[in-house]
Amino acid sequence: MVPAVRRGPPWVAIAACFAAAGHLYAQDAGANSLPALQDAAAKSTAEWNALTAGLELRLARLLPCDPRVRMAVDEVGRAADTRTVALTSYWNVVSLRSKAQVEAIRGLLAREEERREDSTKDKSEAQQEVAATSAQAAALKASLQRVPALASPQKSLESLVETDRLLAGQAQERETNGGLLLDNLRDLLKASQARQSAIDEQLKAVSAEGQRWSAYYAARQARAQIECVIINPAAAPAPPAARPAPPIVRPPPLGTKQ
Amino acid sequence: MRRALAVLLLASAALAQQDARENWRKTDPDLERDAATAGATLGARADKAAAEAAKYFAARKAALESLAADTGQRTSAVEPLILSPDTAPDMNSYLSGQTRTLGASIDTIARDPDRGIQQLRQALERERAAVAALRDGLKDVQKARDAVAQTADSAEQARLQAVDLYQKLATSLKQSVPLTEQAGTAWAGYYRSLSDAARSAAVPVTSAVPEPNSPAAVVPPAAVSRNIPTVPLSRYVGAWTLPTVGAHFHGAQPLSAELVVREENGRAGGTLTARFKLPPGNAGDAEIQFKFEGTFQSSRQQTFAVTTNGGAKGTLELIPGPAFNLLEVNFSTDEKPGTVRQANFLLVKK
Repeated sequence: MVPAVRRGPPWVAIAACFAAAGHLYAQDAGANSLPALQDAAAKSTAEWNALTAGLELRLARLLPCDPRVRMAVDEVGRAADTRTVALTSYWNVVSLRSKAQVEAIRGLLAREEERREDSTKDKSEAQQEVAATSAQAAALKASLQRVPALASPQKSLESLVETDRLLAGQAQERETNGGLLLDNLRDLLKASQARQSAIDEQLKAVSAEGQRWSAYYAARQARAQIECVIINPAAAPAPPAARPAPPIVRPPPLGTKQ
Repeated sequence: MRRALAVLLLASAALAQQDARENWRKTDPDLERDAATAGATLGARADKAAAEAAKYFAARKAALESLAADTGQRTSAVEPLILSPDTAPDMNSYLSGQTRTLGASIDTIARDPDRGIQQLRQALERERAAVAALRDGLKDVQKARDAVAQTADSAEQARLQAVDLYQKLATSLKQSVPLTEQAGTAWAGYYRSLSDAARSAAVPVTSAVPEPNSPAAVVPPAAVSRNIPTVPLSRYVGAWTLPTVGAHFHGAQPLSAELVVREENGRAGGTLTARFKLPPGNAGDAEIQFKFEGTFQSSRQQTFAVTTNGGAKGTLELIPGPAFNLLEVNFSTDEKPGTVRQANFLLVKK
């Protein structure tokens, strides 16, 4: 029998962390901001790493039945759980943000598709303006010989044709860029969806890694207990209550609130 | 909700602009074609077209501004998702070391028949299996991290391109705003100059215009040969007034105008009383009264010499309007500065 070696149910904390993620995302300030969550993850990782690296050395200096053996393994296990909780919080908020971005892109794409028609119409109307003003200029030019005083308005019209051409050029440019933007938004949506999938996989990987470390520390604690029993069967500590199995980690849907 | 409102406002602005453009372009499509022949009536027509053009350019400018603001906001709709660099420690060497140590321990006690030692061996093997699972899992973790980094980079590149394109669109729209405003001003200037040019060209060629101070301006009845205008005398003779709604004018805005035109033996005579709205800050006289007389000429446009109540001289042009009950009035005098010296408006028959 491999006894469970730690009393606390850290996976409950991880599950709570998921449940609270929507709330964290909504607040997104101070300790709940992405940089703060990243800092917390980095700090807990460093602490766990230091404890892990020194664990065997610490245990080697203790007698098998020394209660500090169990405490030392417990301490590293708790540090691993803290790290997993911190990483899960971080990636969960990243996932929610990514989902929000995907939705924003979807919304933009829908609006740009609607606007595409307006953009084409705008270009067409700008071109019609050039044609209409040119026709006015031509009509006025026909009268110019009969009424020389029309030279001034004729000149104004010709200048207006040039202005209309500039405006039509800008409308044409907008239509072209609007087309490019549509293509780009479609690419962006695909890329963001791919990133979302990768982030979800990362969340699962963090969860699975946490479970594996938990299993390892449980095995390490079990070995320490057997070593103690071999040396002094009477001194073997009573096995603690069974440790709950870690939950299967799934990111909550966007907008989950507590 | 906010998005729906923004879409509604944009659509409303676009519709207003399209309607205004259509109204403007339909107002007087023959204006330029008629420029050489319409004479002084062109002034009122040009004014009407100018008013519609002003409405269109105001609506167009508002639509462009709304669109530019909306596009600018879209630039920030997709905020960057900056992921922190990976700070996970490399546990491979630690786990390799553990594997070696555990393997050596297992080998050392493998053949020991003691029950307790065998339990220990089993515990060591379970521990070694947990380490092996961790080593395998590290590959999955690394693969997942790499996938996130790669896809996040691609998404960020695409996002930056989208931001760039949105900025280009917003810049283009912003550049079109002053150009549109400039075009609106230029169109207003164009219509004004068209009207002025047409009016200056509206001098009839069938008879000489009498100089305001010239003795020829007042011709004795006996010396007048009877000319017959090209349109019925009823288009000039009678009592005329400024319409209370939708008055057409060019230049000074008339508030009221009463014109009486009489005819006797081919000679015309009458009075004009008009009151004008003067620009703010102008303390001049807003009312003008004068008598006129002369002969009807064999042309559509009739020109008469006038003498104002103040003794100033000038000319009055009467031009039949586009409808039988409309008469265009165009006068200029040498009144003192600060008074209404010239005006152009349409009257309706009483």
